[in-house]
Amino acid sequence: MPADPSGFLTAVLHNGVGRFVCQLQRITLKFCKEYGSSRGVREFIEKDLLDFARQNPGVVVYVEPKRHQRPKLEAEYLNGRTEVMNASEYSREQVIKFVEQLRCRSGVEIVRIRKDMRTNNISIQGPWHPFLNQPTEWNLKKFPDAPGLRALKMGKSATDIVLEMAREQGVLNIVQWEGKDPAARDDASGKGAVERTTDQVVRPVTAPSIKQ
Amino acid sequence: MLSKIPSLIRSRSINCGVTCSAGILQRPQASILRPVDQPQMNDAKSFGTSMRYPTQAGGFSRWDVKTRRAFFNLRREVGPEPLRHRDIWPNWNYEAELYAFGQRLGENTTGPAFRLAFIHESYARQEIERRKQLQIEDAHQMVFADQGALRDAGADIVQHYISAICRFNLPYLPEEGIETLTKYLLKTDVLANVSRHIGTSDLIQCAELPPYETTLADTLLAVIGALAEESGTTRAQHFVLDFLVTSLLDVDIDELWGLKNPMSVVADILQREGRAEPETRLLRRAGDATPEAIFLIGVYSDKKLIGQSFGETLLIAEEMAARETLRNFFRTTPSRKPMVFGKQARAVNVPVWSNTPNLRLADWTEVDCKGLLDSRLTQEPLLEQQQPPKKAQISSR
Repeated sequence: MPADPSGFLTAVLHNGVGRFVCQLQRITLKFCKEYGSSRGVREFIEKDLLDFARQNPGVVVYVEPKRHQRPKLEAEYLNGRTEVMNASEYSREQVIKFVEQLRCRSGVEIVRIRKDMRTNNISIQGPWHPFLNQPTEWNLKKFPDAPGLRALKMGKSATDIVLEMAREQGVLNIVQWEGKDPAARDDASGKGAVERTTDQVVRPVTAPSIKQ
Repeated sequence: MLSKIPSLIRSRSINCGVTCSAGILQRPQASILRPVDQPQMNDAKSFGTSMRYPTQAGGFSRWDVKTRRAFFNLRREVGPEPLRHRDIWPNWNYEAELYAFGQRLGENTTGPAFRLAFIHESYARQEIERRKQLQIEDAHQMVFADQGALRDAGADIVQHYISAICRFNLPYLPEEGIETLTKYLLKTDVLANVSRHIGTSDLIQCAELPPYETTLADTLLAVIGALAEESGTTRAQHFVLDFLVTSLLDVDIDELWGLKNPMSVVADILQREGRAEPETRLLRRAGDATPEAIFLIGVYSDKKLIGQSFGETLLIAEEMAARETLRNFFRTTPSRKPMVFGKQARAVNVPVWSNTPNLRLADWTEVDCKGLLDSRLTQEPLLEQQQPPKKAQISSR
């Protein structure tokens, strides 16, 4: 076994999908009739064991007196594993608690759980690929400047602010690229984006023409 | 897990090494060199009589280290513990175990058939041999009953029921696929796994130890046969549903079936349905010159997309697309309805689904499949979900 055993949550034989089966198949209580360390186990046997056996007919209970030894709880599970627990100095309440714990376990070794959830099946949507759920209208668009795909403008750009300042100061020789105005280019067909690189004419624009 | 050895060490017996070699240690995998037991409780009382409380100076006494080393070397010389049957230990009562076996599974297993179900043929043979050696007079004429008849009866029930429940869950899957699933569930290792996990391995009476996979599988079938004999076929079928059919949850149908040349199967089906031949079209591609190239291919018939999938080369993508098309035809996509268990599965009218097979692959058409499904559903009783809701009841089990 590795130094740090780890694993995933598992159910033995899909337990509970069909019907639930208690995985504890037999439990053996080993105790001494004389020693004080077995007192709690002795009390459990006297007062609680019959009820436990009656409530769990699927669990075979054995009681084994072992002279002058520490008491033990030996639990055997359906997956073939055995859990042995030292019950020395346990009070009756502690024995009740740990017998219950052994009964409720699946018998799988307790290890560090690597993830809280796990599935053996692939996703029901199928595996991911880069084209998954891609809108079909993108087929006809030219990237990266296709209309409708540009980032939303949240407010005035730095260019806009500078132009405004220039106009306020009465600057007349403002030079602007032809067709660079986003509002002019955003027509429905998206042709503006394609023609962008074809004719870039530099012409001087006067302040009144911008106000149109 | 604590083994017996630490307690022996605690007893400080001089002869404990010899006792160990005689086989007190139950489990061969138990490590002899194990760390000091941590105190079980935070309660100060638990330190009271314990000889093994941790000390500041390392926590091990000198005698302790020596004893452990002696045990370790001894175990290495002697080798692993021989495997012995569970019944050699004093805490073993076959009657109680047999009773608990049934109670655990929610069945009544006190009848004579169950006793027989656990007697394997090899055990019967071994017993006759043993009596011959003891020179019992009529040993040659002795006939020991074994699980054979029950196993055959169980195998029939399983075969019959599994194919019905598979057809119910996958009505559009061709019969070849259903046969594959049925064969998978009747495989020895699948049966043996189920058998082992319901607790038969200690109860089986057979010559070998541990029981062979085939013995475990036979015993599971025999238990199902015995259940049918004692409690009726329906109960045996429900047992199969709850313990065996659940193994199908792990299965990928495509992988199990391994259908060859899927595109020609698609073409055959389309031809039979009077539709146009399948056409493949490259829908998208990316990263052609990279190790992670991806091609998305769609299969069209009459200009209608009937399946699409991707792959790292064009050929792979085409085959994947054909398989996806077949999955769409046979309703076995990952997003299909999950398998039915519990009340709904118990309400299935088994003869309706077991008597008529699904369509074979060579005859498969969608229309015929729908017709067959409709004719079967008319014979089905109303499912639970279609009935008016009842007040929830807590199952007694």
